[in-house]
Amino acid sequence: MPALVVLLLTAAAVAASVGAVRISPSGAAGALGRRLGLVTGPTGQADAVLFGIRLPRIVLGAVVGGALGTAGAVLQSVFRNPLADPQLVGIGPGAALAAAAGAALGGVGGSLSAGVVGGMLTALVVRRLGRRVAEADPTRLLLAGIALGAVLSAWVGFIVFGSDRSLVPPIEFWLLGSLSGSTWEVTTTASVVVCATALGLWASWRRLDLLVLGRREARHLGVDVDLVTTMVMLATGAMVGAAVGAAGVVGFAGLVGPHLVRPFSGPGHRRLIPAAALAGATFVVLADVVARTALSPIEIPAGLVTAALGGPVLLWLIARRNARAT
Amino acid sequence: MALLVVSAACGESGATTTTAATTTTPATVGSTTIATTAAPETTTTAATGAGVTFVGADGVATTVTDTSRIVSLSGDLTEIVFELGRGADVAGIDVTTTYPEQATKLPVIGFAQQLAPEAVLALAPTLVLADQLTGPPEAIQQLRDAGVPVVVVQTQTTLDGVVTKIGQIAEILGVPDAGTALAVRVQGEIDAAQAQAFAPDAAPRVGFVYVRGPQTLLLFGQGMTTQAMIEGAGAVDAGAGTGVGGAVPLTPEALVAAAPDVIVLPEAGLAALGGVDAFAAIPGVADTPAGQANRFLGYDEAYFLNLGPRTGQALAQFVADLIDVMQSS
Repeated sequence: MPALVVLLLTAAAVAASVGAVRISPSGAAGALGRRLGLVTGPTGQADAVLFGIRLPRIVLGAVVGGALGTAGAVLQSVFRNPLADPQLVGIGPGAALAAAAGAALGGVGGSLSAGVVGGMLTALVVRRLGRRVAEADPTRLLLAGIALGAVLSAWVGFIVFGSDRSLVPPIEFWLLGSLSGSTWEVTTTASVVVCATALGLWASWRRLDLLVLGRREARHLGVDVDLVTTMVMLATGAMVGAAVGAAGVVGFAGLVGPHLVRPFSGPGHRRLIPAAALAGATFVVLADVVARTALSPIEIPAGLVTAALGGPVLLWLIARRNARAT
Repeated sequence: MALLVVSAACGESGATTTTAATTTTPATVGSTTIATTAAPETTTTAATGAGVTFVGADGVATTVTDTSRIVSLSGDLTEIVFELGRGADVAGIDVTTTYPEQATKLPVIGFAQQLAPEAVLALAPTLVLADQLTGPPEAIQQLRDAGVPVVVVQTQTTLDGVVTKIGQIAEILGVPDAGTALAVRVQGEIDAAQAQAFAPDAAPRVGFVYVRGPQTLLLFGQGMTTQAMIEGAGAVDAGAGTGVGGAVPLTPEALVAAAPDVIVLPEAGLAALGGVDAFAAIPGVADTPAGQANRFLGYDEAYFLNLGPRTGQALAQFVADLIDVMQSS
């Protein structure tokens, strides 16, 4: 676990030090010192770039990645399905639909709160969907999620093309996900929602551990399976909704995060949840560094980078399952 | 019958209108008052002005004290800055700047409508010129938080707006005299071009179709700069006239309903599409009066669409070309 914290901090340091504006280490140290009140002096452009542009973006990247990593780990347990990912099962597109509508009505603030509500509602729909499609074949949940996501994403498009462009971010923001809209206002709001729900899920680690054994087994061990599942899905939906409202549908962090750490953390949620969150956060922060710098000065959506890196993980997971089945 | 695609080579206009400017006095420049209220000491072209405070279209008052490193976020603004003799102070441009040629050699900061603040800050600007299309607003705020003055100039969509815009840029740069001179010249050119314009009873219907490759075909209408150019030439905007607001994806039916006598296209996009023949083969085009008589006009995008210093020349050429294609068929 400490190793993952160090990795995330290293990724954040890398992200803080690269960008179109060159900031020397001493300039950065000075700006940091001034911010922490260690040294006094006039603030310059380095301060504005570090604390006004890069830092809110790094924190938002970590929050979005952390939320998706946590949500991925939890969904994989609830559905007992290693392929479950908050975006692929349709929660992300549902949150995006609500967030786009919220943006059309109330700008950035509306986007976040509507995203949270939309995420929670879609999570409940996905829960029913997950129960109907048999647990026997994990890929069917994915197929149902893709179908749901396609429908919801189409409606995102209707909203984007039908509303005031100055209020609603463009379609590629919603479908691909991007951290370019990060300001402290967005970052702070999203952080509060994600941290609260993540702590709630982490506190439920014992029940999640039992849920993985199977619904019947968990019930025999005294877990109110329906209530716990509903609460867990609502928390996951809210968390994903906040992430999507702030940054659109950034893909694959919910697969990459948990699968990267599970060999080290084991299946127990007390260790798995924070580890998956940290791994997801590191993944998105680093992906955004690539998104900002690869084609500088033009920024590409961070979701393009996460998909390019994370898509192969999904393929590997599917291939591995097939190899096991035959 | 004649197929006429006019090459609007930048700067060399065959129009005979440029002499009209000298006879116009500053007091009669269009119907617009040019702001010449800047303090007298700012009339030199020194790199640093004396602190002009300008209230932008976003309602934000910005005090500009140093204009030695300008980043221009719109092609028309870049043209005006260069025409005002301050091209040497431009440090960066956005992708819409394609003229003058010296400007295109400057660092490009990407798309002004998807502004990446750091790309602008990396050029260490002392002044950022933006318009109302620049965004997102958070990015503009981040630039201001970094201590860079960002002036949001009103986006103009009428011919009268040209001199307003020139006056505003001149005021911001602290060169009101150069601004007045340029505004007088441009307004004179616009007036001279309009003197040749079609009478209402002879007005052809003209449609502007924006082309950028086969997948991007838009019909322009109400509120676009093309409406100002088309109506300035005395013609009827076929798009705006059939209820098209802004730019809408071109559908065969919309084009047939617009029934343009002449279709105007951006040159570069037309070339990317495969030329006039490829355009004429698009469903619907052949069923318009323009398609039947082969009346297509192609212009450089910035030359025709930017309302700026070249608008008078572009309008004069456009009027002459319209008269030409209407007579030859």
